[in-house]
Amino acid sequence: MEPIIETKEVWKVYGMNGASVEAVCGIDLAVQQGEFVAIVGPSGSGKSSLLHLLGAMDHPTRGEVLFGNQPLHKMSDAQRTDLRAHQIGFIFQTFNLLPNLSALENVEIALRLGGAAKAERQARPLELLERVGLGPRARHLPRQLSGGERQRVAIARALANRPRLLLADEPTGNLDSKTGASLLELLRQINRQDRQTVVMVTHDFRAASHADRVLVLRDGRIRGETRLQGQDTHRALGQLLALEL
Amino acid sequence: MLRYALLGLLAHQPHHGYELKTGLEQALGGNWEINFGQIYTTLSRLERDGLVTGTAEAEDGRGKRTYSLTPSGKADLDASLEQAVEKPRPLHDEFFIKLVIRHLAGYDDAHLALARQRQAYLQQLRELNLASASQQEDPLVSLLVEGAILHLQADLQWLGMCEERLEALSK
Amino acid sequence: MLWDLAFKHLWQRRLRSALTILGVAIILQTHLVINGFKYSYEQDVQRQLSAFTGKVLVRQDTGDTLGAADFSLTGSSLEEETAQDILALPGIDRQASSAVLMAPLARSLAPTIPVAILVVGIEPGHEAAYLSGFQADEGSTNLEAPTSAILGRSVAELLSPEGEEQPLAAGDNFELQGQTFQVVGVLETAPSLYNNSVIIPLEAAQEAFERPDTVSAVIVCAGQVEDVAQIQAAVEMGFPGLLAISAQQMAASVDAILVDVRNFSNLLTTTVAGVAVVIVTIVVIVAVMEQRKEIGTLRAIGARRWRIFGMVAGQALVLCLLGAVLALPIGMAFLKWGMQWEKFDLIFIYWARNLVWAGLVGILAALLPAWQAVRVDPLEALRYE
Repeated sequence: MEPIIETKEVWKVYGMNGASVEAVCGIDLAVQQGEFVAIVGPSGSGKSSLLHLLGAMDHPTRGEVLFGNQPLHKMSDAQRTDLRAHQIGFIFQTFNLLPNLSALENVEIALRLGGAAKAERQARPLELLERVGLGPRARHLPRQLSGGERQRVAIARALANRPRLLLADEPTGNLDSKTGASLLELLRQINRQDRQTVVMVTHDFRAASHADRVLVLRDGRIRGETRLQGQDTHRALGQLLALEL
Repeated sequence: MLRYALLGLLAHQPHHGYELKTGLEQALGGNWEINFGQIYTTLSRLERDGLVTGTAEAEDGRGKRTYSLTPSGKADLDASLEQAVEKPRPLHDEFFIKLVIRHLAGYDDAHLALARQRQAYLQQLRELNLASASQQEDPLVSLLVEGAILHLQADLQWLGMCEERLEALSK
Repeated sequence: MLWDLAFKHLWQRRLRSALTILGVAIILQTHLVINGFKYSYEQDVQRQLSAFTGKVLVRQDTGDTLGAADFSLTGSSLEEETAQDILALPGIDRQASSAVLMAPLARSLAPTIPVAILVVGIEPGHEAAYLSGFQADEGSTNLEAPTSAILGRSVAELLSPEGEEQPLAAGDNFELQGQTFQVVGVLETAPSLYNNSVIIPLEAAQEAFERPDTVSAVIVCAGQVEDVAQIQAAVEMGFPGLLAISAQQMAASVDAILVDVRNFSNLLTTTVAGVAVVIVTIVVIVAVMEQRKEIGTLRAIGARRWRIFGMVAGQALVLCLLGAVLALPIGMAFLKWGMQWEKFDLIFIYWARNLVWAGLVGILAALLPAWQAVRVDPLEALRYE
């Protein structure tokens, strides 16, 4: 099966005052439909640069980035903008809701940018907000919502145009661990129920462990790949509680 | 430790043996079954030392025995709880030993071992995450789980450090 | 479109938006006032000119360039005898021609601005030479007695005794240069020259201003329009040092002045519009700086550049158009209370033009900030500080 997004020997090199910084060094990566992938690495590992490339927001220095069968590295700015509007949903660390718009309007604007029909623009925002558990707070402005609620609005917005790829950049970076955990649980649920492809970038192993596949990034290279399975909570607890009483 | 757990339960109110078993299991989140025999041997040792007294229900000394804490038992419990835990967490964890053995044996595939270990830690982390979500209503168990998660996160970071340093050495 | 976002941002910064709109309104109302002023000046001059149709003005050649368009003629002087010789030339409608003496009562503010009060001495029975068909609202236009006076509209108010609400009317007496005159008529509203005139018999004027046997000019009315050129030629042949100016020449000279007036008012309105562009540009640039992250986010979630351009241009346009709307009441208030202007019929036409100006200002003011806005990188949304 064809991957949703694929990089082939992709490089991103920044020129800074004559010296060049290699942020992404020949990464090969393929994400299949329905996967939940976490890319984990410390700051400076190149994970942000990689995210920009996957999100059609930046040009690679070398190599290829394929979205479905469309070569991102050959697209014009307008084409990439349209791709972001229709096929990619973004979740930001700082939520990035439009501060003067209500939760509902924030979702609606994404539909507008995606060129949705009027009926869809009227019905879908509330559906999505209900889906993320914010139906009763749909008319609130972002500043009237807690961090976790804002990030849920951002998820609803990201899902507005039924994107093929959901990209999350440190989605729990500005949340306390409990709120972060429930948000990741929501992402998981969406991934499971809708077979929504999710790629999450984070520095936090705990957040990454919610994904099905974890890629460890260091110095612009993938240093390890782990597939996680099972939900055997008893085994973990059992080990913990095997106290020498 | 079981000795102090039983003293703790009896400090609250007198119990008979079965109640002690279920009470202890409940406090640990209902995930673990405690051996009945172990409880009784501990109880009889405590009774022998005068830390608890057992009273039989029937006058002939038969039937269920109800245990209660004696003043010296209370003193023993308090003394134990007042002391900070001074024994350090073992630094030489199993994986580290394996790394050393690997070195002794002259193997130079440490990075593979590190990757495998990370895989194992991540899997544990995932399971603990799920456990954390399912144990939220029990504050004591959830504290235990959160503690374990924090340790695992530190372990994962330490693996990264090992990788980096060993890589630098081999260059 | 993302115009709702533009409006909401302006609404979020209500005070700043309101002040900007007010600033634009104040700037654009000067545009209204300048244009209104220019228009009424042109109207006045045109009516003045049409009153002179078929006439020849004979005056001293003082050599200054304004000569032909100087209706007040106070700088010109010639012998009364010469005047009578001119009036005796053939082809003249003597009834409608007269020697005139003109003297200002207050100083002129500038060469092209008419004197505040102009005293006009005219031969009794030949009033039509100066009045050219303007009627009296009340009383008559006949200077029957040596102390009769005909007053212009404004003068009737200016000369009314202090503390008196009512303007002077037919039958009232007033003092002029120490002599008492009686009002025989008050003129209808006419061009400003007439509104500001006190018309008295020539002799009385010569006496009042101590200029015996002297006149300022001769207003000659040709019996037939075709005779104008012939009369002009006769004057210039027979009376060196005098100028004979036809209405046509006057019009040409007036046009030259009007071109200057128009150029000046255009320069003013363009400057004013430029100031408006700069102000709105600054305000919108600040707004774009505030919205950088939002713009980056919009770009990141798929807003094309032209939508961002539209959003920013929308903000500039709203500020300018609301300012233009508000300029109307401000301009009208300014004209009404600041300049006693009553004719508002034309201001609406200028206001409609003002809206177009405001749109243009808005578009110009939008260019720089909108250009900055479309260049905001979508990665701006991912910068966390």
